[in-house]
Amino acid sequence: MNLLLNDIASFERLFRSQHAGLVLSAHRILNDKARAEDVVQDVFLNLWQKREEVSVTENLPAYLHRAVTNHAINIYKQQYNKLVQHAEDMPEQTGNAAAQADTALIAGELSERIEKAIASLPDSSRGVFMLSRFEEMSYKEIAERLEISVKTVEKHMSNALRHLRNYLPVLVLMGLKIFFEFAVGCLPF
Amino acid sequence: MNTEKQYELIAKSLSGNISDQEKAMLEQWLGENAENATVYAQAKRAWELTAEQTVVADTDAAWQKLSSLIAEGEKTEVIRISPVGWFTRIAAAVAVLVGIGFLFSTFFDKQPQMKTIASANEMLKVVLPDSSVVWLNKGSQIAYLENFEGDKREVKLTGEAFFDVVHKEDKPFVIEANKTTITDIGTSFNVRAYSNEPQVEVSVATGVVGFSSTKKEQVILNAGYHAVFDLKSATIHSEQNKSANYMAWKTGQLMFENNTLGEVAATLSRYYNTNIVTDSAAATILFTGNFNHAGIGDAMRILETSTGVEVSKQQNGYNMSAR
Repeated sequence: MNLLLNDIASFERLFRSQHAGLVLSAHRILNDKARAEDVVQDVFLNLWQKREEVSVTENLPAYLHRAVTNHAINIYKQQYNKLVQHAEDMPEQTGNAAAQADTALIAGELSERIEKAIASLPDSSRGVFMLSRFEEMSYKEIAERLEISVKTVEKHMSNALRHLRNYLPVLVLMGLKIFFEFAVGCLPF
Repeated sequence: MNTEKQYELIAKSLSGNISDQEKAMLEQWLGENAENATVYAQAKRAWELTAEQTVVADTDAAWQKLSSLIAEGEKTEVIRISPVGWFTRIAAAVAVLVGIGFLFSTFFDKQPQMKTIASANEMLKVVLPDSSVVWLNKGSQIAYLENFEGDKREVKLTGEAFFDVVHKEDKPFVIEANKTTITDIGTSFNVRAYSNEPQVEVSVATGVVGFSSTKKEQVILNAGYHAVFDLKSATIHSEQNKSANYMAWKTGQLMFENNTLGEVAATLSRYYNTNIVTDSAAATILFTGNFNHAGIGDAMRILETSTGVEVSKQQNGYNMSAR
């Protein structure tokens, strides 16, 4: 039995230290906070119930991260299959998002704008993009995991990146964060 | 090269999925004109910026939910594996009908019950059957036989607690905490034994305490002394308390007098359960001052203004660096 899990108090400490990070990881893949929280809860509940039989040899945070990611990918895969059932091919690249970006330019925080840009990604491309970007899975691994072709993964990646670049204001993309915030602060409203 | 192909190559390059041949194609395209280079730079920035995404998770609420699910799961487990068999099953059936199942099954169970009290995210004051008082720090747990049956008053501790013990000559008060034993000789003292920390610490406020590991001989600690048992080397080291900060979790008071910021950071990290680090230049700067129930933000601001270091918020704590 793992020393860290011999009582509920240390289990709670583990939960509290890992919860937010794990929810973020699941949220990146699922783009749904409630679902992401459910995934994390299921993983912890499972770990607690099996604490005596499961021997976790690697470190617990890494184990938890992998369990949460796997769980989230399974859900994403189901969604993905539903999404593509309705469309012959993948959704078309959304048109020029520059108009939206202009409104986003004055709509507050940088982080808020990034959230919006990510949220506006087509659902099927978002998950693929996040798995590559944050789980550092190769195209081949993603393709195998989702049972799609590497070509489709390439297309999703291209789509997602193009969408993000078009959606984010140019000033942000130029890395002029400080100037940008200053400029927004000077706007007359 | 069409737009889709451009982004395909850029994405491959950023994600580390690009082949040598594709890399050559991308480089050629980048060299064609300044516009292409800008597209690449902006796409790269967009890629990097996705790391800024955050999600606000309500960990407290999530823990409440999870711990009630755990409690539910364990209740059913007890009924299933109970050695009392059919009787408990009837009791459980009665419980379903009239809701007194719990009373019923404990009434017929003559075995002394282990009583467990755990604090979650709050400090908890517990009065034991012998009138001794225990303050449990967050995330801690004590267990003892109901009514202290037997010739000793034995308490198992995980986590941190302050004990104010009613002394009884004929029935010693003994605490077991992570391979160590602490015996009261009439006194109040603090024990810290979280299972994810490599040591057990005992600090004595009043009276005398015996502190021993399972093998080694006992160390007698007087008021104002503090001992640390290192689990790895299985040795006990004792020294005089430099401050009363070991009690801060209970009193809310932190006092520093010519302490280095390195020491201050260690104490605050522990008190706020976060990770405060200093660079080597800041670590030796001296600080004198008191915090009274200060929030972590206020404490960091006070350190910043009084010592002139620069405090920056990190993902998992704070960083202090000399300017």
